[in-house]
Amino acid sequence: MLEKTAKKSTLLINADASKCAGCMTCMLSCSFRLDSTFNLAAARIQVRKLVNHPNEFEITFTNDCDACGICVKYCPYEALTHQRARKEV
Amino acid sequence: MGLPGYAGNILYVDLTSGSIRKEPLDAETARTYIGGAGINNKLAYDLIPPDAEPLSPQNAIIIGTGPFNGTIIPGSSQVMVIYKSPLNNAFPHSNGGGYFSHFLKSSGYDHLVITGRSDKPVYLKIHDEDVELCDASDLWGKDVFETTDELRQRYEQCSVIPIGQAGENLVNISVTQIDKGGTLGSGGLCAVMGSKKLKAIVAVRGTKGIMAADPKRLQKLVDEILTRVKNYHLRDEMMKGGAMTMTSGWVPEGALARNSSVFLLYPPNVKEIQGQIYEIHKRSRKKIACITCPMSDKDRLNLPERGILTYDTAVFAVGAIMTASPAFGHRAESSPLDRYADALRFFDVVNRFGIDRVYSFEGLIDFVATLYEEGIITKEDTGGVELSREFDALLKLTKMAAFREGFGDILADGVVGAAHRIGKGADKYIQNVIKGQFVIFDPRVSGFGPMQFEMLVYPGRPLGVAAAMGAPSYSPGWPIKELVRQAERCGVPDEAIGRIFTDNSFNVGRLAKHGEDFFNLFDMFGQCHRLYISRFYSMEILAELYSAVTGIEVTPTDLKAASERVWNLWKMLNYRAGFDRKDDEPPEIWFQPLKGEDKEYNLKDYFFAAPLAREDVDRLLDDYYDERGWDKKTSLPTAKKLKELGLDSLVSS
Repeated sequence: MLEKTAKKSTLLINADASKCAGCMTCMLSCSFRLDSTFNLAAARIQVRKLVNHPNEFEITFTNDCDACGICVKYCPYEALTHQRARKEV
Repeated sequence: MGLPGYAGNILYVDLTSGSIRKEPLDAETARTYIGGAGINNKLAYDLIPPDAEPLSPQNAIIIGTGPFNGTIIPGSSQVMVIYKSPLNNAFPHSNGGGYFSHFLKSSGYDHLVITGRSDKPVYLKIHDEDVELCDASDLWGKDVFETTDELRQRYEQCSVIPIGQAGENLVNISVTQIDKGGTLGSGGLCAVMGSKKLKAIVAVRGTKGIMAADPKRLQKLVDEILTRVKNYHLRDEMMKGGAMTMTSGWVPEGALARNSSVFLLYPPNVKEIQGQIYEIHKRSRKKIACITCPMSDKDRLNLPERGILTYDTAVFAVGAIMTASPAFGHRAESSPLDRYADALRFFDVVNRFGIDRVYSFEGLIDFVATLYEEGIITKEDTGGVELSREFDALLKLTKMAAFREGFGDILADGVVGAAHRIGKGADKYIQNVIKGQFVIFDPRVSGFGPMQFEMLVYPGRPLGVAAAMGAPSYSPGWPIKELVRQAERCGVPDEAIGRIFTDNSFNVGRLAKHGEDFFNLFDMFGQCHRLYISRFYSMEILAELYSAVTGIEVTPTDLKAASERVWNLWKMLNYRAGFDRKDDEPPEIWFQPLKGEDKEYNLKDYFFAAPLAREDVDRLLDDYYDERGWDKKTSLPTAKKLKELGLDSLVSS
């Protein structure tokens, strides 16, 4: 399952929830970058634990995510990858 | 938000009156006891009378987080709980993972104290300032997984501490799983929750953040830890196999049924079977991590060809093979898939009911099966149940215990209670039991190392792995040089190393004290002490992390003193409840030979070099108490030691 993030950047983040183990390190790293505070609710990447879901987890991004990639750096499970966005024609 | 690293409040909920209030966590308490198990001990000492009946409203459930919870520190997932145990009347600690610790703090609470008793089933919902006791009539009767799923559907992003039917029926050997993966409450926590008519505690993800005093310093430390984790040579394989990857080597030549004095030998081709089970396990497994954990040892297990989909806290190779062993109904011709499927079925049933398999139920089944075979109990006692060692009988007895049906009512009291109720000399058949629970390692087979010694002296329950110097000391026979290196990592001071180690041996009693000092800090910080993650930490790293998070500069020596303070308070809590040296004594069976097929196993030291008699173990206990500054006769902390630790108020209490 691939989901994209912000348009502001020339970068985008691909999320593969099948690799996600649900550690939420991405969310903590995101909120920490924003204001040096760990706050799951403030993170621009959101990992949700679901009931009866084949992947167990779902990964989404809020509209204000600027695809900085801090979550990619901190994901221990390679569920997130950073790519340069293709220019829209 | 005053104190960096802390949410800043303690939440008090009284189920009798329905009153809910929060009080600020004062800085002095946080500095003195740090958090987690430390502040839990202080609250338990102040709030639970030593003679409280465990299943009465007088008992309290105290849940605590530490200053690492809520941060990005790898493995900072653990929540601690303390209460008076209905299994043995002690004050055991236990910890569990999942999301609870972080979610509780995200609502603004470091600790949660639950007292009293509700008239009707309720669950406690915590979401920022919205803290509510909700009607749980519709959840009563549901199992651990069903309750968790139902509450997740109601609150979406939440963490759940539920009870299953065993807790509802006040089963002393009940336990639960946080978020279908983090075991919590060995010693009967769920029975205490059940007695209070508390079906679940739900921490909905809140909106409050946790600050670090020095964000840059913390980030640097975390980056270094994560780099080491990612470069760990076993990590890639562990991502596939989970805990089983690391425990496959633990399989000895046979399974020791917990209560038995004989080995149940594995088939000659056990290694081959184990390898096949491991492959099935890898393809069945979806890795699940507790929050912040890069090692993901929790499992979702999907075996569609057998219609099995379940969750477990970490499936170990030993457990999978043992469960399908002769003690529990394995047929010699069983295929690896049959064995694995049987194991998962059994895990699923005990986990759903909420029964403590590891420290109680497996040994208990072996105990009563032995009594049955010896003619101590008959079908008349069991209400017509054939107490065979067949798998179907095992599942039947599990249900009977969870519902306290018939003979299951006796099983539900745990091995000591069951023996007492059975009478007829049944207590003479209790083996390998300390403080009312079965030990997980018989030192006649595994050697008398730090883990095995720790099972004796750990307050409240015979937990060995949580405070015993860590890997590599778990495996017998490591070279002295490695063990000294390990001791240095755990912050054992030079002068103590000189006292503990010789060129070819070490004093396991004295060493145990220092292992406790180190691993107790994990319980105070909210950090996981499982070997997969704790191996990346040292006393120095813990001191650095604590300083960066809280802004309170500490040295390893300061931390060690704080840990010792908390341990002594915990000891006093248990001593006050009647636990002294007699409860630390080794089981008599350890000094009798364990008969294998063609050899005998006798108690020997960690290196399997020196035989150990009862007097030797007694001397090691003396040494442990001496190292701790406790009275050798009683195990009571001396007035001098308590004063040295600033616990003056506990002297001669």
